Amino acid sequence: MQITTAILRLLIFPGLLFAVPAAWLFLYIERKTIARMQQRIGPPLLQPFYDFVKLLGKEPPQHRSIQDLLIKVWPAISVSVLLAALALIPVFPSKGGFSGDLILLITLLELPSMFYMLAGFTSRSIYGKVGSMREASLSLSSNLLFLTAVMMIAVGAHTFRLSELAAPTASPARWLGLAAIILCIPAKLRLNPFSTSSAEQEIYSGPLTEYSGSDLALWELAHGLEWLALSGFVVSLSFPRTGFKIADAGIFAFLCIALVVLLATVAAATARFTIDRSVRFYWRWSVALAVVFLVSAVVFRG
Amino acid sequence: MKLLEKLLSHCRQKSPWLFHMNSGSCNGCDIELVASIAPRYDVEQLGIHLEGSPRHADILCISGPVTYNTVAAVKTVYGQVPHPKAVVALGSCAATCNAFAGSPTVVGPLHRHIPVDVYVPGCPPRPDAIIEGIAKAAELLGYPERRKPLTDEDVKDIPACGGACGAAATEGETSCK
Amino acid sequence: MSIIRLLINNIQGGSITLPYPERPPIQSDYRGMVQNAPEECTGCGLCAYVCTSSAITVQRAADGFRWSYDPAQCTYCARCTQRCPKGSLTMQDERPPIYQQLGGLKQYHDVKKKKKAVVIPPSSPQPVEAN
Repeated sequence: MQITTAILRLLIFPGLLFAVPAAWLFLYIERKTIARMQQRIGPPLLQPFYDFVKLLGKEPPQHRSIQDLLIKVWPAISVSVLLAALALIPVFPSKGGFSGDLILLITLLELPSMFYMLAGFTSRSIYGKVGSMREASLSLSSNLLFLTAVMMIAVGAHTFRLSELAAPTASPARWLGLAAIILCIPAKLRLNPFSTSSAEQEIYSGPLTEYSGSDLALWELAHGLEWLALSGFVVSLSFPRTGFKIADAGIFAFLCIALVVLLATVAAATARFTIDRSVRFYWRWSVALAVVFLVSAVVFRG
Repeated sequence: MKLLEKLLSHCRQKSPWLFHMNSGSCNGCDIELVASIAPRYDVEQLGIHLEGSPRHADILCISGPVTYNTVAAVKTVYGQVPHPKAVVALGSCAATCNAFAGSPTVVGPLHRHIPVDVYVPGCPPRPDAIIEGIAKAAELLGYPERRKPLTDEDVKDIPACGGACGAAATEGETSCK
Repeated sequence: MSIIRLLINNIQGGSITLPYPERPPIQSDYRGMVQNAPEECTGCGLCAYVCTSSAITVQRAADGFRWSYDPAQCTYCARCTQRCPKGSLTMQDERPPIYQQLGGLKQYHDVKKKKKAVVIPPSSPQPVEAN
């Protein structure tokens, strides 16, 4: 990928300038769907924008030690890592890429939850530690399923290059892998029923308890960008491109929003699992499906 | 910069985040606050979001007469809410001590310990009254100069206990019966 | 599964939220703020005696009394309304409003009694009344 293409993709589309309003739109769709499922009105359209600007205008906390400066690093790195991940997603797959960029994308998608955990451990509150321990166990269990599903998709298509993966063949391996990835997304996004690491009623918002002001604004933005990146990743691997940019972009947007509505419906319909139950859920599915995936990856190799 | 300030104050009014604290109340006001988050009254249409941590919040809703055990916690939590903030005294107990005035474990109504912006009386207040109080506090957040701090003129005829038993309703009376 | 049926019902039912600033209707026997009719109040002070939270006080002076009430102190238990011998106290639909100044809702009213003149003749004995 050329340097100008990379910078354009990072900053304009699907990078910073496009991604931040799109992240706000996805956060709005999530909250509005949950509200409508509960027979409520829900927030207005610009609500995530209002939240962001309000949080930027809060008084910054006083710095007493190097730890307070360290705490500010985690949300900033999360946002930049997610912007880089968004730049790699093949919305229009003929636009370049490089061999093995699937590996880079998966790495970048793993990092935000790791930084969420680190934020909890480096803040000085006990609630942060408890929330981070929960996030660590959940991430460990859901990542096994996520990574074996991605591996199966890649091995089934004989490539690690995203632009080639984005032209799917109709194989059951692809659909099974995508279904498994969709099963892991609620754990990565901390949605119900796997929202135990940021449980308000139990641990006072967990790892983010000590965050306020502009850092919290960046965490909310990182959450919205994570929605965008994960749903974009799943959708980009799922439909064959027609070749017309407008039609492709329209189908892409429609499928992303459909995925957001589906996950928000599941979040509205379920209650929060305790940590042992969520870990048990993922380990059962992981062991069962990982065996299936690895066997099918070996069998379907050409 | 005027445009940025107008944008900031508009956004502060449109997105007031709430933190609720119970300083010794009977939980009646807390239940009515939670009822205002339920679908019938739905405060989320105003952008209000019940937060898990005082550091995330703009508006602090405190119910209950401040008891001896909770007064340090109330002051700590008030200090943890970042500026600009507003305080809503929820219920009659936080405004005056209601039926608990004169008790040895009740250290007085809320305004003796932290500055209060809006009082929502009622025992318990109806959820629509609570929403009106929070909306008023959100409006005050947008224009911080409109918040009226307590002046000496306001407190001159309130006795030390906060006027709990109503003795200060008569002019010239400064001591309790 | 019943949750899917519930979700379908919720979507079809639409939102049941009262859009702000609409308020729900009050039922007929709602206990709102205490209202006193000054022309019927005799200043007996029984309402202040039974008040659970000392929201009502009656201060008597030589020429009348002052009845004062703080809605922010009131528990809305209606004991004063039940006890009032003249029936001058009622609790109506009016909910206590929100306020921002300390003591902003306190109200009181003064009732001045007219002095009755009693004429006694100086030297004749008092007539004794037979019961």
